[in-house]
Amino acid sequence: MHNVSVLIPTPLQQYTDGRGAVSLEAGTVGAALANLSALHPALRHHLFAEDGNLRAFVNVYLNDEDIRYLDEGLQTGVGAGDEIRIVPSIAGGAVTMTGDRKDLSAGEIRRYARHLILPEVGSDGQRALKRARVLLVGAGGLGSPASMYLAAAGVGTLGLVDFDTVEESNLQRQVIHGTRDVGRPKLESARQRLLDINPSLNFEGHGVRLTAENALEIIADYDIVVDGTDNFPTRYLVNDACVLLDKPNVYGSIFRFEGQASVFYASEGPCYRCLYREPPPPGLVPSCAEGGVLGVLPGIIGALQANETLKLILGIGDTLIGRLLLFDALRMRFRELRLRTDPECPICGEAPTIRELIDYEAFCGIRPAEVERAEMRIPEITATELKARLDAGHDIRVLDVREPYELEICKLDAAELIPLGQLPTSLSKLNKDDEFVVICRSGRRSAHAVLMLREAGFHNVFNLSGGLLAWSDEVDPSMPKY
Amino acid sequence: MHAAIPLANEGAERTRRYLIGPAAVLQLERRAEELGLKVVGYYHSHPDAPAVPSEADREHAWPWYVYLIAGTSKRGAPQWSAWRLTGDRRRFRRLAIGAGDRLEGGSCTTSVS
Ligand SMILES: [Zn+2]
Repeated sequence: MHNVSVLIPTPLQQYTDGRGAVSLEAGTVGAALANLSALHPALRHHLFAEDGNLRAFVNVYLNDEDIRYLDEGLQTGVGAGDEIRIVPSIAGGAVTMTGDRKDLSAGEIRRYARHLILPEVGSDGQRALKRARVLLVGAGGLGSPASMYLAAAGVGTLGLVDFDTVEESNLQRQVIHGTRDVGRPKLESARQRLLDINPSLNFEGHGVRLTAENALEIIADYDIVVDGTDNFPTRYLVNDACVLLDKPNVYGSIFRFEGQASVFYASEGPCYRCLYREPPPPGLVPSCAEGGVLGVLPGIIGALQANETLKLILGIGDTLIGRLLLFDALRMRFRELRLRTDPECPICGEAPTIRELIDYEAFCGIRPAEVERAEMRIPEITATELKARLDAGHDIRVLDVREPYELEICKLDAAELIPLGQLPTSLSKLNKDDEFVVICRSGRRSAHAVLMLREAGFHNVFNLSGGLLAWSDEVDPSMPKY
Repeated sequence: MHAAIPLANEGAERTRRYLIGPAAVLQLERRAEELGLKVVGYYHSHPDAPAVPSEADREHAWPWYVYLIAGTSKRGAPQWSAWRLTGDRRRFRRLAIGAGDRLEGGSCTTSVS
């Protein structure tokens, strides 16, 4: 073993902390390069091909002698003070090497004919699509069109993270699932539909909830992430994991009649936290389940996400990196906001404070319902108990904190409507000594209302646990669920 | 960018492929160093083909370098585009070319910027 110096060319110095020379101990040229790759693992795949041999365009000189012309090649011994120099050769050209075309079969050439005649895609682009690995988080409204178009376009591997089952209320917009799929896991239903669109697809299902524990492991295996989540904790989790792993995050979100899309890619532009450093307080922004969404809207935004994903893979056009596209379905208008990288961004900024994944439920102020109830001691009443007490003629005021349009779907005759947003200004109209039961669709919004009332000095307030969904289950099956 | 230096194509199939060997690269690096410059990338043309990197470009690419490609066709001026290999070697990312960075096409197949 001798101390030698390995001279690093400029394009690789980003992997050696900017240093142009690395000194290390080795017995042969090959051992020196192996030790170098061990010291700086990101170098390895730029120097060595998958078969372990040096890449053809990587030239190695030992004291100004090209080792390819030395009898022992990489086995050539080194002496103390020797210099090993890595020198690039530069190559490429308009055509691929002979025989390279063979991995597009006759069937693929027929299937992708409309791509192959686009000069911007062509057979090189089609092969890039085939090589690509894209992860979709969520097989819902956005993930449906995005995954179907990506599968149809010939993206070789699609990963899908979802642990839900198909419900009837999904079918209004989640077009990957059909009526016969109600009750099946979304992953199974999506797999079947995607493989029908493109049987050569390599489908990788992840039937789990994406969490801080598994996100890095799952995402690391893909080139691009398509975020089709409908909640803040997962959205921040996807963003942070993508920043930490340097993956592009193709973002989309929808609410009622409006949608947004962008590409967050910290090495090229801003991330989601540059735009929204912190989530809104819980309960302030209703989810699609609470606020509704026009069925076709996720189709439009999800197709935009597929479009941006294809462009990223093909390296063509101008992506949405650094731009937030806003879509208004009622006015039928697209607007665009220019996004800037925030130098003080807690994850992609100059002095990041987040260096690993955190507890996103807590970060977004959301905790499991049981913990929340236990800690905050929200008094509850079940649907069966409420029905019995109303029937017995107890003097109970039932407050419904849903929005007015939700009442058209279902309501309790005994209920008075005060939408959650108007509750703080309506407190003066309520008598603190009355007994109240607060209701909403699922029991979540009403729990917030109960807390608010108790903090304002109302002491006889109960939450209808499970909301009107529970009422429908326990008391009145004719009440529609939504 | 300060200088674009034409280099000879050492490849055998000169209209479709290009090769700049290590000796030429080393010589270029030394010349740049003497001038107080740094080699930041390479440019080449795709005769009668679009200005997007080919599979051959990707397989042979180095990270960090900017690859400028001139796509040419029988009609119209060459289309320039700039690219950089991603860290995982799977793709090129397109880089923005500003108006001030506009290059005029030369006759050489391969050059250095
Ligand atoms: Zn950021």
